[in-house]
Amino acid sequence: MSASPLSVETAPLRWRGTVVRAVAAAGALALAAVGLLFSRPDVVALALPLVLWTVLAARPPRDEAELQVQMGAGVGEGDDEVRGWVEVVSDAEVVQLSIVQGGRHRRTADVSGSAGTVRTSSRLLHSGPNSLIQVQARLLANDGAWVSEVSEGGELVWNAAPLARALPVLPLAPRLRGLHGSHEGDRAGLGGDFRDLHPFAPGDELRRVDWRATARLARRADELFIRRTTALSDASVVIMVDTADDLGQAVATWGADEPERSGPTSLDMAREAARSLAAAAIAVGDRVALHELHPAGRSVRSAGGSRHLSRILATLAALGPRDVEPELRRTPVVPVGSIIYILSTFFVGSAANLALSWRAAGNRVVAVDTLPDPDDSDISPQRRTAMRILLAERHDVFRDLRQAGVEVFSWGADPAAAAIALNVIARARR
Amino acid sequence: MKRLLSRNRLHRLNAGAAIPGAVLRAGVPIIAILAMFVYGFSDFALGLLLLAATAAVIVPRTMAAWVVAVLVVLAMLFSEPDFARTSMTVLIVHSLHVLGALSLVIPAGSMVQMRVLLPSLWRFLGVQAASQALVFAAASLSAGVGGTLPWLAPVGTLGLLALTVFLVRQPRG
Repeated sequence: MSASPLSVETAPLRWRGTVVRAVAAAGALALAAVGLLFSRPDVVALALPLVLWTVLAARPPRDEAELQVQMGAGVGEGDDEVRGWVEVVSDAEVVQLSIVQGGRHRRTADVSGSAGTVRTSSRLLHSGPNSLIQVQARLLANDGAWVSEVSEGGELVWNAAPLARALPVLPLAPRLRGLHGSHEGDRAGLGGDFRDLHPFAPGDELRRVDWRATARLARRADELFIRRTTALSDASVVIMVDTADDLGQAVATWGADEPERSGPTSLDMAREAARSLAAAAIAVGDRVALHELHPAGRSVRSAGGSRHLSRILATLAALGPRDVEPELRRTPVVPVGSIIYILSTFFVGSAANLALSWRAAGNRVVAVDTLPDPDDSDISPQRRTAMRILLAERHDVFRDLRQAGVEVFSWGADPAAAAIALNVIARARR
Repeated sequence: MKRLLSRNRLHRLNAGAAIPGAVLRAGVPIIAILAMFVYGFSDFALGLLLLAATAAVIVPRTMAAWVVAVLVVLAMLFSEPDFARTSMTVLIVHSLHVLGALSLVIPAGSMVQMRVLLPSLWRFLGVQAASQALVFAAASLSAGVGGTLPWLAPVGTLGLLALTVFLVRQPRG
């Protein structure tokens, strides 16, 4: 989605002479000595280029070298391609860049010190923060006779926005608020369908007087009846994203940092689900808040509108996995009568405990299982048994949640199945 | 499907007009082959030459490029003085030194922009022009008197020393 351009201006780098200067000087001396010993002027002549080279390479261009590294990135072809660039400005002849792409693929490039540029292209497999380019540099001068110390590193992180699924229907919050949504509530107001006939009261608009109903129902000459409609209100939606786990589809990669083998991860699913839910809720005029379940987690306050959706999208794109102890989690404050979506793998009990406490407080709670369909190929029988035990424990967690009135559905890889499950929840009367 | 994407399809790096660092290393065996044509090496010396050239490509830290240069100088010592061969050897020894020095600091897999090699190329050409001119002058002097001039060796050594002192004392701009 975006990455801020990064400029790394390193401190002046000190030069260090390499062994080749000594080799050239010693070689020239040896050639002159051998030529002198054997009275061979042609052998002495061989020392001349080495002497000239040694003299030219005797000192670095300057005592200290300046180096500035600038990085940036933009969207390439297709949704998942990001093109980056690294530009160096230095007074040295050569800048040797050590570039790590995707956090693991190290390449080296030797570029000119005067505005040398390297371009990169990466296909992103995951949404959220991706390490696009990590750069360290050192300088070379005089055919490698001088090298500088290695500069401090810089890293360009690309926050990739998740994709969105179209969700035609969302479950409704138990209590409607405000006068700006598209949900019909129980209150009398404007925008909705016919609610009832009511005796005229001070403050009612005269154009709302129903003369036929008045003629039929009025018992006194000064009695008037008006047609009342229901008010259109908005619902409060709260989306909680659990960032404690980031488990891939390939069970073999659980506990290992292997984003290229993992397949879609639980956080990919969570970001996609959060964006889809937020977009669908804001489209019908609801207010949406986003919270990351972490003590230092990001939060987006409850609001509506397209600009708010952009804020939510930017926050989701920056959500990455965090290591956190379950007891460190805070409980975000949610508006009374909200519908709360908890997006988690529910491997750690705290997300389920929060769901139960919010349900007990009278909110409507939907637990969204973001674990991708596990692919247990390439794992040992022992690990397969451990995985089955974990999934069985999770099954128990979901059973407890359902018994407490928390609705549960799996986001999964199949959009149709998730949409149907959400539709069933939306139609359930609360 | 995305899991099956290879590393190369996922991440690409483009340094513009560039060559792999391995090309610089490959220069050492090419120069060694050139030396084989200039001097007649014995089978043993030829084996050593090829071994050193191979080592210079695979492990430049062994400094085998300079071993190749030593073998070439030894071959020169055991052959009669000749202007053309001397001129070629000046080129060979200097090339081996520059390629060996660059191979020590540039990894084989590195992408080396062509512009990066320009300063090295100009330096190489400047040093070669001066060296070849001096070799030519010495050869012309020898041809003028109709034979080799052994006293040129100490004179040349002294000249080198004087040149070194003069250049080192020059202020750098």
